[in-house]
Amino acid sequence: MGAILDLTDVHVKIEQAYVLQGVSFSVPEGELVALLGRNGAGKTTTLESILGLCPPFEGEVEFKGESLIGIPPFKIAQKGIGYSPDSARIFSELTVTENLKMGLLHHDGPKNFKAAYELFPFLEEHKENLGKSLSGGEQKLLALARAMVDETLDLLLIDEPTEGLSPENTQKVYTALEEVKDRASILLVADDLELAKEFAEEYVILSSGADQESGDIDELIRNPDIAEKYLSTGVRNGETK
Amino acid sequence: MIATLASALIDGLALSMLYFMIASGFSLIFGLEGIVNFAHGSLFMLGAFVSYEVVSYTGSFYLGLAAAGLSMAIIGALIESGLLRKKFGNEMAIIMITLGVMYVIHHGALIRYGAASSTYRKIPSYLQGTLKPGQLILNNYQLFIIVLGLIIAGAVFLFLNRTNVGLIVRAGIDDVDMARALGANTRRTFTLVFAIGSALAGLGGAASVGWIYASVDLGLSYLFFAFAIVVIGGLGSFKGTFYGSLLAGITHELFAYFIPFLAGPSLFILMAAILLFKPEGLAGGAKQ
Amino acid sequence: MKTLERHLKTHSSSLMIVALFFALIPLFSYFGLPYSDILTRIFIIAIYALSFDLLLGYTGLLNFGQSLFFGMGAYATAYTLNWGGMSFLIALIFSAAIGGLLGILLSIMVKRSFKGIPFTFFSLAFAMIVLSMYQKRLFQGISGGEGGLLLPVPGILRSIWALRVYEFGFLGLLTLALLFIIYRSTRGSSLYVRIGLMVGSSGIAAIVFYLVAQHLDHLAKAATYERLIPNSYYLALTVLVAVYFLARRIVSSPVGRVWQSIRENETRTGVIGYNPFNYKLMAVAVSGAIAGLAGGLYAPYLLTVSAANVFDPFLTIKALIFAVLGGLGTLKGAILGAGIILLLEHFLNPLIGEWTNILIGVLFIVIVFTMPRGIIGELMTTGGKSFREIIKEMVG
Repeated sequence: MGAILDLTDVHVKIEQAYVLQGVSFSVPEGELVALLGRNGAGKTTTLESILGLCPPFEGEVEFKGESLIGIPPFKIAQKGIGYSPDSARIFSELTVTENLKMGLLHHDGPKNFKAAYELFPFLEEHKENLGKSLSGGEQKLLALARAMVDETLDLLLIDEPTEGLSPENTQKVYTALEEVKDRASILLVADDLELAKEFAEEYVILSSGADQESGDIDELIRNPDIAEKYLSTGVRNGETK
Repeated sequence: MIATLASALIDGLALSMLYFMIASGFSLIFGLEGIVNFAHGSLFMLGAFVSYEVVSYTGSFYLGLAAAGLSMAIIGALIESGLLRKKFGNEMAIIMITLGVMYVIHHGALIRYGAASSTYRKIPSYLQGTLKPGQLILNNYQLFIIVLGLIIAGAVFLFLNRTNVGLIVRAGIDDVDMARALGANTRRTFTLVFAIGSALAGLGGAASVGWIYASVDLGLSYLFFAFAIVVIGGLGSFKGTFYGSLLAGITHELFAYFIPFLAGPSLFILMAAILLFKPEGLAGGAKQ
Repeated sequence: MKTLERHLKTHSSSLMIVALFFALIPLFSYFGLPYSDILTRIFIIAIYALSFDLLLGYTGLLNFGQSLFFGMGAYATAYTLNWGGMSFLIALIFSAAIGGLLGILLSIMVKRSFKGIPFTFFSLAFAMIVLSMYQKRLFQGISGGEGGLLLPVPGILRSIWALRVYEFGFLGLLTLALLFIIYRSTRGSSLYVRIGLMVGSSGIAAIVFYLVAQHLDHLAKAATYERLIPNSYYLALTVLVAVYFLARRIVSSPVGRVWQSIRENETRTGVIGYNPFNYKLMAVAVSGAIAGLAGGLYAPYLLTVSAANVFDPFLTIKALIFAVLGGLGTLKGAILGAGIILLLEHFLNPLIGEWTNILIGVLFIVIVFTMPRGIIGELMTTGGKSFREIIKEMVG
């Protein structure tokens, strides 16, 4: 099966900081790839560079064999990529329904939120309320729902969906991922190794600078040393941040 | 006393509507694009003169209004796409460019019109004269401005709340990068909003001619009025701008009728008071 | 001698020479070249533009009511001269003080929204309230109404003695500087060449001194008005030079560095232990005092002070144009910008009238696109080349 998303030697600078120094990996069609790494390794920046929000100054990003370099973010999104950022970033002055509508901007045909409401019934209860009236956890779920409400999307970029959620809400995220996994390829930034182990077929670990490790998720499960090396919280081998 | 109060209120409402027409576009543009458009007042002034010229040549009042709105929409779109787009994100450069445009329009108008002020020679007869229900005396033209302002406010409100583009505009005011990442063509939306905002300013200018006369000085005064009103209502908030305009216009006229020497600074006193005690504005403000 | 040597070696020496060159200009009027009047205006407005750049360029605060400080400075001088009957120098001190006090008042009032656009709007409101009060008939007594307040010409601007001090003082300095440069730059040459050059230049200086004496003799016999022009000219030039060096001293002092760090990142500045409010208050007050001083100088130049000509919001907009054209945060830029624009206006206005301003507006937009850092800013960063090197290249 071919790759739906291909990153080759991507370099990104944000102001003075050299955040990504040659990131390469691909997301095979129909699979879920977990993007792992410590805080500050550049996971969120990787997603933003795919969407063109912080465009790479070097390297290649291909979606379905087409280069995304130099294309404005809204056109990249229109090609069929959904995005659920880690800080939720829902529209606080829009109602819940309107937030979901923003996820359906380029969906032709009738716009219905049934799928989203079935997964997250609380959204239907609050559908006329403003985004800012939801709790932090609810806002994160709304962001996830907004990214997956358009069922025609081919690739979802999901950033730390369970971070800071209650066990109850985490369970809802698991259900949602289970359901959406069947219809779209997913690049999932996972703060939680359990989440990756549960859903991912493959993993990519970003480390400081150009260091990077990837492979089959079973390998990661079998070999705890890899996780230990890259994901433990201690600072080792002179690596910083 | 009652009659005077009623006149003050009607004048205040009419002034509010002029304030609203200049400030709503200014506020939308600021809220969505983060641009402080120093040329906005000049578009109001230019709209007044375009309408004045068109009415002089064709004799049609409504054609004048339409021409003012349309031509300012085009000029606004050109300013946005031709000059500002390349400098987005560079706050200082944006301020400079809009100031330069303001400077050019202001002095261009001075060449053509000098210090004189002009008004329509011909407006429909039903807009002239007064209505006299009971003891009250209501000026038809002021009533017309109120109706026009309310229609425009309603139209903009529907545009923002009932259309897809309006949804994108409101989402963009919240978080423009996120709207972009969800596939909203913000570039086109920016130009459109700039054009609409400019058209509103032009219409406001055109409507003002029959009451307060067109003069070059209007440009700077109305720019400052727009500043004051968006501060009073809350930066970037549409509803706030509407209520802010009402408050400012009525306050101004009440002062003008009863304590005249405070009328001029009333708007700025309100603005200063808001910044002192409620910096986020009446409506809370979507953005600081 | 050692300190003078070091001073001449550093950047300020060239500026000193420029200032001294301008010291000669009033002599031209003796030959029928009347540039002193427009230059006086440029010097005064440059002081005002400098006050604006000091705030915006170094602290990042855009004061849209800067003309309030300028205008109140002008009125303060008018009041002291008219009603106090005091000397012009005391009036100037009052003007600077009122500017500084208004700056402190503004800072305290705006404390809760002391940055970015809210500050800009608040400073505008602050200025507009005063402006509209001054335009009211009710306050005609203090504003002078539409005609404005008429000022008596201050004694110091009429005095032939002041003029003598200025002219001979500046020329003496110029001669000393010239002799010193010759002495330094001919170090390798033979003693005779050096003495010859120095005697020769002293001879030239003697001729200039003779002309100055003639000039003064002529003025002593003439009406006071003719003395007014060179006197105002020299006073404005002296104040401009003094304010420039003072401002440079301030921005390179620890306080100036805190200002710049507030401009870059206010939160961080607060975290490392400086109270941003105090430093911003200082910046607004210093900038206000300088603007007030400029207004004080401007009052006798105008002879009548009215709300329309000293509070004009366009004065603020122009200060912004001057500072940006020359280069924000360079101080020199504000002076250069004021010079360029006012000279353009002066020479083009009689030819093309109001079109001059359209040209300035267009020029301004072009500058934003082609030289985003302003003229001085671009010169300072063109591949690390200095101004002198660029001139050298241009010459060949």
